[in-house]
Amino acid sequence: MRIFRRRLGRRKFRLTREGRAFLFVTIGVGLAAVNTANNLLYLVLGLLLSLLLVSGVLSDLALWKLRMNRKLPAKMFAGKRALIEITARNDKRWLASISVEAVDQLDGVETQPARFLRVPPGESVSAAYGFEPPKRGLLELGAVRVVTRYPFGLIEKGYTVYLPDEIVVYPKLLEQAPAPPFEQMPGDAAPMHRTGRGSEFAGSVRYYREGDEAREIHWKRTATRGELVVRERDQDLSLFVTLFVDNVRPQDVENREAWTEQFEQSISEVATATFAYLNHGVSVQVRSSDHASPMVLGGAPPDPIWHFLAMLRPARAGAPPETGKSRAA
Amino acid sequence: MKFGFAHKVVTYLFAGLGLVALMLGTTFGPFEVALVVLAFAASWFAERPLLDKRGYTRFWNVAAVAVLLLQIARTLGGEAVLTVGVQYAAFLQLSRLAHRKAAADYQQIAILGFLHLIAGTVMSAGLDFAVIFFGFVIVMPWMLALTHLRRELEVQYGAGTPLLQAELQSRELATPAFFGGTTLLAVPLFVLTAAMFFAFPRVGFGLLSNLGARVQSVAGFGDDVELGGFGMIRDDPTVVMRVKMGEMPRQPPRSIGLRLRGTSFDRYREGRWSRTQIAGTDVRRLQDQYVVQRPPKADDERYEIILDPMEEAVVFIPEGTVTLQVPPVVRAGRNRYRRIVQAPGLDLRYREHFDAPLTYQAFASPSERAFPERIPKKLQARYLEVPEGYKRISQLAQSIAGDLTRPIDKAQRIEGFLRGGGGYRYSLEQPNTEGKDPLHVFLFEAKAGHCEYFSTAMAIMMRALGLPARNVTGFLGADYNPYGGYYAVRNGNAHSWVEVLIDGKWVTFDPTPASRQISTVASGLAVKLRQMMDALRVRWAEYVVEFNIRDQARALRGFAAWYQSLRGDRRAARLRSETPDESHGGLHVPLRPDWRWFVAIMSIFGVGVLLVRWNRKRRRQTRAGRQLDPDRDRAVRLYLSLEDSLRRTGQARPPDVTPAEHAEQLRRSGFPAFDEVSEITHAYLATRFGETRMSPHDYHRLRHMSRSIRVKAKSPPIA
Repeated sequence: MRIFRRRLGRRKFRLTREGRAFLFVTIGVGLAAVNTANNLLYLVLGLLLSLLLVSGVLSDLALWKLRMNRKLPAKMFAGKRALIEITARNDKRWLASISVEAVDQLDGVETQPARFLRVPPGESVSAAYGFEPPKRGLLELGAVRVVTRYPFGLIEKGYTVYLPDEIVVYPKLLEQAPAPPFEQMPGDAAPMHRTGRGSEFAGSVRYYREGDEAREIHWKRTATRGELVVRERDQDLSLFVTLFVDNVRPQDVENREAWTEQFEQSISEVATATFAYLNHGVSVQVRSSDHASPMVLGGAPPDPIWHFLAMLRPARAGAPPETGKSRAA
Repeated sequence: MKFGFAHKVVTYLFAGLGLVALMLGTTFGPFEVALVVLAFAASWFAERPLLDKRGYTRFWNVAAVAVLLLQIARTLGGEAVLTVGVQYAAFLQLSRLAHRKAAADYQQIAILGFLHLIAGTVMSAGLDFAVIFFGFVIVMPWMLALTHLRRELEVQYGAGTPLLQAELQSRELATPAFFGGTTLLAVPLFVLTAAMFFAFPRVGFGLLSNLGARVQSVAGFGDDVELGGFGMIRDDPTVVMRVKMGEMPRQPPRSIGLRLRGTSFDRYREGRWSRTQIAGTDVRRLQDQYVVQRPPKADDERYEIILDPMEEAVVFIPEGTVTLQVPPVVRAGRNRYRRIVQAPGLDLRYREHFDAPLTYQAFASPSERAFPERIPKKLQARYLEVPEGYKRISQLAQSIAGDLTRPIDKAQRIEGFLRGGGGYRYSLEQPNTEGKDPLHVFLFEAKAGHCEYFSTAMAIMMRALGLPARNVTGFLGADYNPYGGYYAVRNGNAHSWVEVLIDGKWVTFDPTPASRQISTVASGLAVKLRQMMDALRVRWAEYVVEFNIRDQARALRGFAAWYQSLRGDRRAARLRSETPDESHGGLHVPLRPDWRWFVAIMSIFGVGVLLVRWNRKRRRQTRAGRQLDPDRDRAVRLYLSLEDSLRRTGQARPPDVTPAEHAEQLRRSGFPAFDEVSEITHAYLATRFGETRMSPHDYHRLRHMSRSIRVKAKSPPIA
């Protein structure tokens, strides 16, 4: 009962369109009952009010002992629809939770609801909703509003659970990006040209990072350690490019919006190019005027660079940008 | 059951109940009823792809307009607006049923069905409405829930999509558990509805309360009655009146010869009795008492009568009635007393005819069976009128009376002659009177007939002897209903007798042979069922249809007295003494709580709690795989309590983690209540799998500790 009380405090309700019509009819029947003194109308009035009351209680029961968990996708790209999964766990012993919706709040904006038609007692059910991030960067997820109109669709009752989370939305990838030429590093720094993903250090492993390929998992070691580890490879600098993103906004820029648009476009181009280079076994590093991304070996996941690009902000003019080694995007 | 099919069945149940509610009144004739039933059944078969045809939908749209125009034309042609409106409402429902496609259509069907129920409240106040209403209480949660789910499905999958069709064919939603649960909803719904019904203050105005309600039609109480027409209802078992006597014997006899007087007729011509139309006067009223002869006395007999609505608003009174007590109608919180009008011939009628039963009490004096009555001059001759051509009957009367001089002796002799001495017998068969005077046929040819022939014969013969006499109609006899605790007067108890004016008072004589005066009651299951139904009907009328603010006040006082009595308060006695004794007025107290009920409910609750505890213990032991000794049982209970606390704090133990591992994981994660978890886990393992004992004291201490985890886990860590 403690849970019940705690949730009750946060619970909100509103009448649906059908509920308002129902209330309107109820008031009408009430007026008719008073007007006619017809006891049967009082009886009908009692039934209507009881239905409202029972509806409210059942809505509470549908939400009672219902836990929500959110599961974010591994990657999200700006402008590309992704599915966010919400899992509802019904901890009730006997009663199923029927017709429940979970409405997420991404950056304070409510999304499409994830609908759960029936969550059987003691079971978990997952539902997903689609979301298309409008821009790159950090996406903050806050509250999830859990609502139900069960059983009669007259009252919408709900509560809000706080499931704070965040995900970095990678830059938008372009359909076609220019395939820039790349050149080998001069002098001693130039390694021998080798194809593939580089050689494996004998017996060397590291912890699994998001984006690592499943085939790189060292299963024996994983079993021994009890945690996922992947094979560690030596640097493969057979081909290496450094991409430069000019993030300095001139002070005398006339059209700030146009500049921002151009800046975002250049980031998308670099992100797309990064993906292309890495796919071709070319190692990549991205630099801006004030920061540099980690260098990613050819064939490795581009996530560190995409993460860098996702978080890159325009810099103020005055701080001279570092010079790139290869080419500016 | 498939969702789509279940929804369809429920929709038809709901719509059907609504249509029946509409047809309770008098607005549907047999033809219209047959038409509605036919269309209702036919609409069941309307399915896709027929529903998707554009022409089909257009047909119904055009039909709706056409029928509307037709109904308007009928209204202009003089048809009752109510009839036309109700019939159109039924058509709309049939139209919806015939092209139900999406959730919106089902919603409209639900709304229309519900409006039909509301319309039904003004069509009938009888038990038939009660049945419909309880049907609605059960079906309405199904209907609303399924319609809501269908709408949700349509939102989720889109209307008309294959995915939606697949869901409609699915058996996962409309499960037996779903129907069981929603059926159980009827219990709280019913309780809440009843509670609200009794709690709403009755301050109604009483406008437009009865439209098109059905009333009983019983011959014999109108302005005239044809000889032979009245006796033919002898076998009609319909109950028209219920009578409770002030002092009922402990074991009431199955039938009694209670005589309830209705009205009288003064003129007999051509085989037909009629009553001279003279405007009556209001019966003198003292509060709710209507003085017919004199105010009631303490030793008067008291009859409580519940009279079903009849076409003729006659007030039936037992023999010797001196006063009537008729409770007022409460409108807008004020008492509105009824008007009772008395016309010559002791014809008592009530005004403001309405569809609910009339409940009243009659106080009768056993010693004043004969009663005086002032007769207008123009009527005095009427009571002596003998039709022309009745010389033979006069001679018969003279010959029977012989040399008797006292009017009472003459009357008794003629009564005796007809009851047995003259060779007359009682028969429901109509003698062939074609082209002849029916009374002559009865007295001289057939010598058999029913009560009307006997009473008419005596009245005419008394008049022939110069004694004012009149034919009286009413009811004689009543059968005890053990389920309702009252005597039921049926249509078949209708009777006719004679009143003769002797020494300024009207004296009752009944010339019908005694053996057939009271119709015998059949017995058997059908009769018992009929009695049960009638008792239910009375309860419905008492507690629902006629429930008013006085009953509310009485019930409230009764409840307060009961509550005080539970607390042993002396005020209870005072409150109870302030509560009017139900045996002296009107309806029963609807709520008459008793401490025994309280004890019974608490006992049931207690047994329920014990059952739940026993069930939990059994499940624990089943989970353990064997019978546990008390120490180990306590240990298991303790750990289950810990698991419950951890689950509530979001730290539920995964099924593949042992208790010890889970405690260790919590320690690593810095769970604030780790110490408590560790101690309880250790105690559990030591008792459950070791030789350590767990005393009840330890159990309660650790159980308390387990509960405290929820609080500790939520409180912020102290820096």
